[in-house]
This record gives sequence, C-alpha cells and structure tokens, in this order.
Amino acid sequence: MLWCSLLLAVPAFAQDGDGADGDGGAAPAPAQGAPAGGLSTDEAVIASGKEIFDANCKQCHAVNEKVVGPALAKVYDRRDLKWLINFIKYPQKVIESGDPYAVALYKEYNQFMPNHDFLKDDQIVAILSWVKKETDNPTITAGPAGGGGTGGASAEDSNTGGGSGVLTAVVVVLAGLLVVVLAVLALLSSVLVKYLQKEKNFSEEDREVLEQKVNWGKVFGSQAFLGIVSFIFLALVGKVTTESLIGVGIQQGYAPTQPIPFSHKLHAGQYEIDCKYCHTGVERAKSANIPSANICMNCHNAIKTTSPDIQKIYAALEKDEPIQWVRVHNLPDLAYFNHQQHVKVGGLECENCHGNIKEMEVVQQASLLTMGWCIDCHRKTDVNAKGNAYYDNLVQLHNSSSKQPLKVEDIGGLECSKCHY
Amino acid sequence: MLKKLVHILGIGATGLLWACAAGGDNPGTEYAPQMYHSFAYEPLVMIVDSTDNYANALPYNDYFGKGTRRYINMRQPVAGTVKRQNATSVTGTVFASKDQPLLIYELHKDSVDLAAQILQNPVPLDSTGVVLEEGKHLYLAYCAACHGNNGKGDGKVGAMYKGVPNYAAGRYATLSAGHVFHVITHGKGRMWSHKSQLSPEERWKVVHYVQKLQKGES
Repeated sequence: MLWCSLLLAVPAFAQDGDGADGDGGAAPAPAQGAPAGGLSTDEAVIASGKEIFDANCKQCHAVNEKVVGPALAKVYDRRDLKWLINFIKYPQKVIESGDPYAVALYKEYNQFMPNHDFLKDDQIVAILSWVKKETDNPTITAGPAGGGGTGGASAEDSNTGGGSGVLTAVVVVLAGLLVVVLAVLALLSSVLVKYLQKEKNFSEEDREVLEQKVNWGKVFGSQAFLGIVSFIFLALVGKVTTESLIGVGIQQGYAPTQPIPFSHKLHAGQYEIDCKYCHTGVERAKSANIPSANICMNCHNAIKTTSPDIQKIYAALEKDEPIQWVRVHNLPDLAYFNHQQHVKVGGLECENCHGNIKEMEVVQQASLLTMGWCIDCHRKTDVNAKGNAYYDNLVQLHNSSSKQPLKVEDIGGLECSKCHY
Repeated sequence: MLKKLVHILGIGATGLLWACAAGGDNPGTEYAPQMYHSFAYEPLVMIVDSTDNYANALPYNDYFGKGTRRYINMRQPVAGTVKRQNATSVTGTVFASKDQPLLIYELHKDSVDLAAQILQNPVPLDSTGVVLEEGKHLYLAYCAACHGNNGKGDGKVGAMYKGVPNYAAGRYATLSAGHVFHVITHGKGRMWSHKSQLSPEERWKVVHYVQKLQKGES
C-alpha cells in the first residue's frame, strides 16, 4: 500500500514498464496491475479526450501535477483499463469494496471523487488516450499563456515608451547636427584665414580685420555678459524656488517601499486581475479598501506558497495581525473624496487618477492630488448622466439654457462645501 | 562680496527646497502635518499611539486585541454580524419572501448539496436586463480572473492556479443556482470563499450571469 501511494505521489517514479510491473507485483491481484492496453493513438479520439477532460476532470486533475486529485501521468501503466473505467465511474463504490489501491488513494487524498457514471466507456478511453499522449509529448499550454502576457506587456511597454523615445532621439540628433555645423564653420573660417594670410597685397585695414584676435577675458568681464549671466542664473533660481515652494505638500512621485513587494504590474497587468477584486470598496464606499489577507489567500493558498514574501501573509493570518502596508495616496483632512461617487456614478477608470497602475512594479502617486488638479477635471469633465434618472431633470434644465454639455462644475463641482466642510 | 553671498545663499536655499520634493520613500515636505495625519480615525489608517492608557472610545473595537497592541483600525466585525444594507427592511427593496431569505446563514459550508436543492435565486431578473448586466459586471471583477470572461475556465490566473472548470461542459452545465451561490459563499474544492468580497445580493446577481454562461451564452 505504501508502494502504491508512493507511486501516486511521485508519478514520474514509474518511469517505465518495470516500474508498473513492480506496482503490479505489490498489488494482491496481479492481473489488475498489468498496463492498460486498448488506448487509442488516433488524433480525433485524443482531441475528443482532451475536450472531455477539460469539461469534467481538469478542475481536480492535471497530468503532471497533483491538484485536488492525483497527477494522471502514466495512470494507464499503474492500473488496467477495466479497473480505471470502473473507478472513474464509481470511485466510492470501489473504495468501499476494499480494493487496496483505491483505499490507499482515499487515505492519501481523504475525499471521494464524485461518480462519473455519465461518461461512456469509449469516452473514458479517449480521456486516457489524451493523458497518454500528454505524458509522452506534453503540449505546453499554461506557460505560453503567461509568457504571452509578459510578451504583450513588454511590447506595449516599448510602444508607450516609443513616443518620448523618438522625441529625445530627434532632439539629440538636432543637437549633434548643430555641433557638426559649428565645427564645420569654425574649420572653414580657420582654413579661409590661413589661406588669406598667404596673400600679400592687403590694405592695412583688411590686415587688421584678418589678424584680429578675440579678447575673451574682456568679453567675460564685460557688464553686458555679466548682466545676462546673472539674469539667467537668477531666473533659474527663481523658477526652481517657486516650483519647490509650490510643491510643498504635493506628494506626486511618492513610491514607498511596502512590507511585501506587491507588484501591480504582475497582478493587474500580466494576470489581468480586476482592481475591484482586491479593492472591494471602490464601487461601494468612500475608501477603495486595502485588501485583507484573506483576499490574498484566495490565490496564494496555492500559488508561490514557498516565497518568503508570501509567507508574510501566512504569518499575518496566523498572528491575526494586519499587514502594515504604507499608505501612498493621502488627502489631508480638509478635503473630502469619495471613491464610489467617482467610480460607480461618474464611471471613471482607476487609471484616470492613479496613472498607469498596470505598469507599476512599485505603486507611486501619479497625480498631483492638489485642489487645482481636482478643479481642472471638474471643469473639463462631462457629467456621466446617461442611464441615470437622477440627472434627467438637471440635464433638461441645463440644456434649456446652454448649448454646452453638462459639466461637473455645472452641478456644483466647484462649490467649496462640496469637498470642504 | 555681498553679491557672492547672495548667490551662495540662493543656491543653498534652492538645494534645500529641492529636497522637499516627494519621491521613493520620501513623501516630501508636508505643509500642515496635522492635516495629513488625522487625529480622527480614518478608514484603514495605521495608528501608532505611544500613550499607554489610550483606548478607542468605541468599546466594541478591540484596539488592544488579546492584550497586544494593534496598529491599524481595520477590524473584523463580531462573528454573526449582519450587514445592515442587506436587511430588506432597511433597503426597502423586497427581494426575499418569507420562505426564501436573502441572508443565508443557516446553511453550513459543507451543505452544498442541500443548498443546491433548496435555494432559489431571490433576486428577480428584470425586463431591461439591468440585473444581468450588474451580474456580468461583478462576474468580470470577481470571477473572470480564474473562470475566464466567458466561464470557460480559461482565465490567466486560473492557468496558474489550476483546477478551474468550464461552466458549460459536462455536469457543470446543469448545476443549480443554489449550488453556485453556495460555492461563491463558502468555496468548494480549490476555490476559496468569496463572501467577504460580495454581498449576498451581489452573489445572487453573479449567479444569474453564471447560469447564463452555463448555457454557453455570453
């Protein structure tokens, strides 16, 4: 029995016919241990087998991995076809009949597989044929799906980066051209001067012009030059100073290190998990919500369980303590902001304010979150009144006196007390 | 000399102000920190309080939890708490009849077969398709990552997580609304509970959409 469960836990152990024979030898009924014959290599049968597998088996079984039930690779070598068909149809009955292999399975997995008596024998053969084909030459399916996502993301990456990249390149090329032109001009003038110096019959005036030297010291020392330089310098200092002063209290670009390096690029970008899956409050409440650890666990009970960062989630759950995420976006107390109002009613996308979050490895504050920034949007944005009966009368009233569409400012989006109270 | 001094001071001041800008771990200079770090409790805010005798005014909030200090005000509700918004008497929208309650608490999480038999969807479908549209919206947010946009079990997370069925295939196509509701609420097999993310009413709306996907429609 131990031998059986070992085989089951490490399906790759049964490398060849010998392994299966050994298994057969351990089982009390040697006839049942013989490798299953009768599997088809016909492609149509294999394809139909895959279809039936995807429909009925996939949620608990994989070929090479233990999922809910055992991995199926080489199952046709471990048991014969008759046993397999009977077990797949009536697992509980087989286990209760005391079949040692089945009992060992039950002891390991501690649950009955549901009856699959709706499958016909040839359908089960088709499934097993597909399993055999997958064991021998696995099709790589899951890998490319993820890999394709990465590829797509990186392609988009270079696309979006392309715009500013081209601009920089153009500027650099232009600057290079200017330098080249200057160098050529300097070269030309020096060549010309040298050529002209060979000429003897110049008037005194011409010679003076020709041998004229620029007195750089005098130029740098001149009032005009100093004036221009000081002006530029002071203007720059002034600009930087004003900008910095205006920037006090603005946290744009703030990208704190989090206790767990959660990547939005991976979760929201590559795996396309909807923002709402974790930020559950965004359509229901003022706050978008930081997910509690149980939401992480919906996937991470099975994914990357050995990663030290994921184990921080387990530790948090075990100690019943929250994960201490660092707040990125913070409005001062004097301003009121409601997510539900903007996302559910206004129909805004998260990216509107939070930037291209699907590309962010570390989340940073993308927008200014200043009052001017809010007001600007309230002036520009049309009210999302479509299909919302609440606005019907307002729209009607507005349209009777104006040809412009109803903007947020028209329904009080600029009133102080809407956000400050 | 004076001019030089002015220049040096200017450069110094600029440098200092430059350091005020936010970036990386530095949130930048805050003009009025008391306004940013609220004394009143905001949702999900980290609270680090150094005074020993400090306690939240709300007696039900176990601020010191099991004798140890906690630093965040996100709290789990007391076991058995019923969300007010789901009580039909509060919302005034009567989805549930007497024998068909919207708030399912009496069924144990292992009673999936019982749920499949006795539960019926208390949220009626309307002629304009708004309920179904809401169900789809919620489905795409909370289910599609694993189950795929059309319920074929082909979501990108599902490919990593393994074991996601196709709604429209085999016996999955015939599972009842009650079964689907119970599975969303308590999870089944590899799937974990999603009751913290979806209210019962929302779950029933998702059930409507899932039942459509079970028929192979999308």
